[in-house]
Amino acid sequence: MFHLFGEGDFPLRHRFVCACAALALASLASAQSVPGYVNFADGEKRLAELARQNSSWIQLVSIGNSAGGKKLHLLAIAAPGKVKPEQRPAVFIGANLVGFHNAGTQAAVAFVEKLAAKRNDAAVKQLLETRTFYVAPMLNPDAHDGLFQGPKYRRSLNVGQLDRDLDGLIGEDGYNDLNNDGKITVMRMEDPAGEWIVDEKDARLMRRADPLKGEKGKFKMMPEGFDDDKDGQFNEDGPGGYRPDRNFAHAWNDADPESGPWPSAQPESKAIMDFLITHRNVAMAVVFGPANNLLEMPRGAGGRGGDVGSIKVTLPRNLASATGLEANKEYTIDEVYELLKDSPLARAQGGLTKEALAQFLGGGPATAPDAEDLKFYQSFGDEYKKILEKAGLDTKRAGGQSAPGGLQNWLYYQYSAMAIELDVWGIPKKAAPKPAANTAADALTLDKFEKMTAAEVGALDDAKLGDFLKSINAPAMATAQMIKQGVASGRMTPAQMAGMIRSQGGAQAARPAAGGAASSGPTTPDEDTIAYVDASAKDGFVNWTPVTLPDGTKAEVGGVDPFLAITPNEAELKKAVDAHADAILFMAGKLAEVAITDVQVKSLGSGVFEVSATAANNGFLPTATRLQVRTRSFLPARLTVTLPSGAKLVQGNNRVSSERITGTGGTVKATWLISADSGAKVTVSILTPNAGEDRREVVLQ
Amino acid sequence: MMREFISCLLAASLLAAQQPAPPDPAWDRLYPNAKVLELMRGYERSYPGWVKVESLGKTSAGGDTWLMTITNPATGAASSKPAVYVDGSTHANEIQGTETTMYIVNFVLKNYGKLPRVTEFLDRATLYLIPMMNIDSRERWFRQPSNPNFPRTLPVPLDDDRDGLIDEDGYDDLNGDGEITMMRKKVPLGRGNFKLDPKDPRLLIPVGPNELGNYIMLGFEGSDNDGDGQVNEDLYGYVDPNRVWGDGFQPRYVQNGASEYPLQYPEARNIAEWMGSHFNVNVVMSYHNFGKLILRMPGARSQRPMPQVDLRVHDFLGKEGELMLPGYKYVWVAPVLGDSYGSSADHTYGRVGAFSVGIELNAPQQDFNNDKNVSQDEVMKFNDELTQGRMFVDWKPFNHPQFGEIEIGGYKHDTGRSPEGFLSVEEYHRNAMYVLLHGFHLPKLVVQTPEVIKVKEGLYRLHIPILNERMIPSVSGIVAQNRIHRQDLAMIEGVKVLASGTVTDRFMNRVELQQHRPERLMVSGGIDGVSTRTLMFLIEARPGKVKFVYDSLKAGKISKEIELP
Repeated sequence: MFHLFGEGDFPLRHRFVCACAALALASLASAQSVPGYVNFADGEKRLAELARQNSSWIQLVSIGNSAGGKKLHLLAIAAPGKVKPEQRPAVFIGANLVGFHNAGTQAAVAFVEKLAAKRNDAAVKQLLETRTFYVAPMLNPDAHDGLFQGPKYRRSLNVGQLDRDLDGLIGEDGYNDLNNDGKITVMRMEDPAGEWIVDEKDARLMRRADPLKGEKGKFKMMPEGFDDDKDGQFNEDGPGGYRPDRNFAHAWNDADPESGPWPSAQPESKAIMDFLITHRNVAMAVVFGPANNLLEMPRGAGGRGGDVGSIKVTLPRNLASATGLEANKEYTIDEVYELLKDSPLARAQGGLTKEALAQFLGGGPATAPDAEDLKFYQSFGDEYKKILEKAGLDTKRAGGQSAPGGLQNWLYYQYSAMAIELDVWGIPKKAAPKPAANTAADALTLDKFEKMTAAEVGALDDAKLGDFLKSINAPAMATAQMIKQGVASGRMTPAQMAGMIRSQGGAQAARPAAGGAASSGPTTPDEDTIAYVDASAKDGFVNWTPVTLPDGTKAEVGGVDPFLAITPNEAELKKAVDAHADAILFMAGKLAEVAITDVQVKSLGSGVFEVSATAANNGFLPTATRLQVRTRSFLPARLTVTLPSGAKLVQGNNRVSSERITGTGGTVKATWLISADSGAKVTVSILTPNAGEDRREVVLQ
Repeated sequence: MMREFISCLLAASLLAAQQPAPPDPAWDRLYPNAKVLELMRGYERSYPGWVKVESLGKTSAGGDTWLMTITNPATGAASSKPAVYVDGSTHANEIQGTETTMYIVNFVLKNYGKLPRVTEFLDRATLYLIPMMNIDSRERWFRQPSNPNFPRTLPVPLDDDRDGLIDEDGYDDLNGDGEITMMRKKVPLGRGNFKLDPKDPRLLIPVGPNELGNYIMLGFEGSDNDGDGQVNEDLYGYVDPNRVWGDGFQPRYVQNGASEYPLQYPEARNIAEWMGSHFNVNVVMSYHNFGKLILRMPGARSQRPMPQVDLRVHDFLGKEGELMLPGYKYVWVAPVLGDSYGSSADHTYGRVGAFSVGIELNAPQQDFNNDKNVSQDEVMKFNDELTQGRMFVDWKPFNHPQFGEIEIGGYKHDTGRSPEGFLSVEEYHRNAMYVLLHGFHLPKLVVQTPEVIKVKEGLYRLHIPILNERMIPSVSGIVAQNRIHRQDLAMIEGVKVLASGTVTDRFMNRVELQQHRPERLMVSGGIDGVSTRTLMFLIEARPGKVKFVYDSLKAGKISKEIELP
């Protein structure tokens, strides 16, 4: 099926230029209102109003400017409470950095509105007094108004001058609204070399011809527009700068000009990171963007997360000879650690950790979410789906994956917070007929393949493996035999292969519109879209109409409205944003929260006292993600003792650290021997960057 | 010819006129920042129009990123010429990178018009220099107690020991001599792992496997300032300005010294932003110490290997370097010094398309017995005999708050990593000549005599050979791989171009045609080093002159009038 503005994101780098179509556009360029959605200027007013009306607990701040000079607004939300707002566990909510996900902006604003409306409800009040919320609803101001401008297409670039086709000309070949309908859709042209034919099931849809069935392609397809600069490419260099939502350092695409000249170069991405690294009280981040991490678990590029023990490394020659290991052989970090942990060298360094070994031996970065962390995504996902179902929203649709080089990736992999991207809404999955028995369940999927051993892959039926390769859009050269040989040789494990397929978009290529349904299943994505158009969005499909390009070429323009799959109508939007406000309130109640739970004082005689302290995490989430134990980008939880003057520690360090206190009652303990006068008071504190603090004073006697 | 004549006249007149005499610094000493800036300003005053000193922005602790631009203004604007960029003191303790850059400046300015290769260089190329990259920490190295390895990093606070306090336990000049030297302690026999060298009690030697020791080393001078049972565990700084760049960046848990995101701090960001709009930079040379190495990228073995077309240029220049700089080795950095991510060389290669090397100046200064190894005895002999003891501070007893009776002593901060003054000028000179070798090999394009074929009245076929006389190609291979900027562009002005392309076999008349838009011929891969590429244009034109233009971001823009019969 042709992706009618497919995926949860814009698949092709094509933009609109108005030079040649200025006349046709003049009438359309004026702003249009879309019920339920705010443009940037109205959004600014709404945020200012919320801050003004709730000035005792909402502050409007600007964290920077866009490339086009517009403000990046953020609401800092915290009701007066015992702890200062910047020291409370915080939730960061960032929306519409991608530029065309206006539903995300509405969800962020609606969350604040809900807080304001329920300000005096016990549960909300308690959250507002113990948490801080940082809400930035419009993170890509330069692209934000694409929904309201004709001709409509998914804008995501900030203001700038980029020669994306590297021909020395800037912004010279964008889209053209050939049928003057105010939307950029798609275009089909009859071409003997084309790969597309009309889908016999529904004449509105196109599908790829299958040469194995004797089908011959009839059309070529591309986004609507002509070849303004006559270089043989259509719409390859429209106006605008870079994509701030692709400008983060984790898995950054170094060969896509739109992802920026280098990671963190864009003012929007830099401002967001500058804010977050100076607000280390953030424990959880919700990104409203085109993927949904709670409907579909994040997978990353395959490979490892926080567990460094199984990473394979080779040792430098000098270390190998000093330890009696072989220089060119692969060892796991676990193996090296066991050998070295008690060595004089390790003792001289004050102890050895697997994380430090992994860094020293070039273990590389984490490339997949940690399995421990995924359990919490799963747990939140279960509750999230209940909330959606209660609101009458679909939970069967697929969520897609967060973009490499994007904000969610940076938040999870480098900043190291629990980071959840949510798309707010997507085209619902069409009611499914019962799948034919034994087909779907038996078919090989990427998830299954990933978990197989080399022997299991070797034992697979060639035809089944072949079907699988086809299902992931593998290139023709990748045969079942080749995969088997690759795995048998040990050069690559099935998991690594799966990771590669994912990182190259293999699985995504077969993924549907709107971050929609899974690649195989009872209904195909475009059928879902068409069913949705027929049922609820009559204007959502533009019927194919003939046009003539300036060079005389005949073509037809038609297809799905570019915003259809990510922009629910006002009534659906209201349900979706309300459900998401509830979901955030639910998750915000689950953050880690530490407290001193026990302090015992025992006199050992001669003015020496033993103080034993326990602190616990009474929240649901751990005090850190499992990955954070590896990245160490937040300070650890520290259990400390403060002595009065005259007292001193007989033994031990004044603090015990824990990188991660598990939730629901996980503890950290410390024992100190203190020499002091009887009756002296000491303070035991548990300090964390983003799970709160607690103190208790005890008398030594 | 005329233009060259005028520019020589101009140069001569500028020198002869009332300009103040250029600075004439001595090369046997290290210069604090204010003096370096005074030199830079001095050259700017003495060579107005030829030298420009400007700030690219403020740095983390209030300094400036000072950029120096040098070219002959009469032969074109700096940004229109191919350029060599050189910087020094990225690591603040690697001081003499700065003096090396100043030596280059002094040499080219004073030899223009005298030495033909220098004259050619300033006429056709631009020299950019940032003598003091990590300027604030460099200042601190001079002004506050320091050691040969410290301060090294950016002047930004970092909680190294993750205890919630920042930079609270650094080195301490316990004995107040202005130097951070070493601490050692005599202990009862059997509790140490060192013993005194029987020939020289200033030196300790590690005990053998079946031997008891009576000394321990306690590291650099300092105490436990924060009472956590550790000494010097949270120093000033530790963001490494050569691990923060954008290409191949990895966070701190993968690459120690990395910032929280690429180019977070202005020392590097100022340069990256400036260079991102100066694609005429063909060569980047960063001066570090130490070890006499010419280091090529990529920094980590897991990064994509360098395209072959670029590797051969690096290899050529690297091997030449081994000849010009005796004792230097040209190596791929990753297998030799270990994987590193986010270096400036990776960034300026991968994001700008420049041929980038890091150069490690200096090595232990004398191998008296020629056994290819400079032992601690030999360093001490050098100190005693060739510096009359300038380098070493003798051990003196000290009562340490945690360690009790210890001794403090060792090498001063300005020893070891930078050569003694009497040896420095040769190394500066050889390296300056090595920079000029890169300058010589900047792409130099010459349009050779075109072959003009009159197909019929009003229709011409032109074969235009373009020679690159030097080793660096007009566009590096990485530019296409990373889609950094446009390829070279060839056009014939004012005529209708029916077809264009690259001649792939001039004898068989084979041409690879550009499928679309023939009037803008994109010359992918440009003109290789020391080679010729012939372009073909089929044009509609009347007899007379037409203008051929070859426009390269890295090699400059050249043109030639072609006579049509």
